[in-house]
Amino acid sequence: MRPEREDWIAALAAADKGWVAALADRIRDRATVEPLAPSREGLMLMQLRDSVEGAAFHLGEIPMARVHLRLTAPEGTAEGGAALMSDDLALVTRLAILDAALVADLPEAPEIEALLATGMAARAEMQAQRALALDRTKVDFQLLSEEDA
Amino acid sequence: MSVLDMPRLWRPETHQALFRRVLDVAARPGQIADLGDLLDDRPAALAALATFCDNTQTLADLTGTLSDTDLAFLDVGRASAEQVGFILVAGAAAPEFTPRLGTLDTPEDGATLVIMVDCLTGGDALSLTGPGINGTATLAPMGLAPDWLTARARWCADFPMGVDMVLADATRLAVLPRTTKIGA
Repeated sequence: MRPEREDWIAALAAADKGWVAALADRIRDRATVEPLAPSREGLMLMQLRDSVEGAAFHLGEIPMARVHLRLTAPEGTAEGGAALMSDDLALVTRLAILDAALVADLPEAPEIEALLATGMAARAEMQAQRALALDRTKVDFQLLSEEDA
Repeated sequence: MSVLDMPRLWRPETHQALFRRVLDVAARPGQIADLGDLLDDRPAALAALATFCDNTQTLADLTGTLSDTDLAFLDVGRASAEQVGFILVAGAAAPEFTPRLGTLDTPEDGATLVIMVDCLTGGDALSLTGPGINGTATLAPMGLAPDWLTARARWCADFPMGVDMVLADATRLAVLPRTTKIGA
């Protein structure tokens, strides 16, 4: 089953980059790709809110790239976009092409869905590993013996 | 090979070349810059805006000729003609707004008007004097309503406050800084 569109880019970014590049380049070579906004890459300030007062603060700078384009193929046309915490503009452009190709339901859609599935699986595995690592940092103070304290 | 080729007008090297040419004619009022080799059939007025604007600037398009994609590439804020730093307007009709003129402390806040005219040559000759002009220069734009000159004289009466004008036809542009005096 195809996940929600908002999850596509994160899933595709976790998939095999060589596969992503090959598929996106194959679609680009047989379609017209038109930028709809200037592609951007650089550093941006990540703003968060603290959990006590709810006050906004800047955590720090993160690399960011974003692309917005229109893909026109014989079978259909669609707008695609991608924004990713990355300085790899070529990768983000390819993700935007795949995003548009999936929206347009091009013949390559099943291949993109297969990529999505592998990416989702990779993300799930990574999240499980992080959850495990986080779980090891939790301390139950009631279980601490006097020697531990 | 780049994964996504930008249209020529929006490439950094094009902006650098445009900036050099706009700067040259801004420093020498009356001279005309031919941008034809950089435009790929886009209007010179858009090229001027591409040179001037970014996400720190504001624009009012009174011509309605800029597409959503153009505005996305300009990445510029939008507001009314009375509030913005840059105004795109057609020269055939008289101005019906008062642009920002700046203040004595911040004359750089005066607006820049990019005025689209039919042709930069072939109209009634304007006699130009002032900084950047050795003696007198002439410019003969066709399709510029005389009311623009009247309004400009009013807006630029309290130098250093005032407006700067960029006149653009299909492929060329000329600049009339607020320091330039215009005679008949």
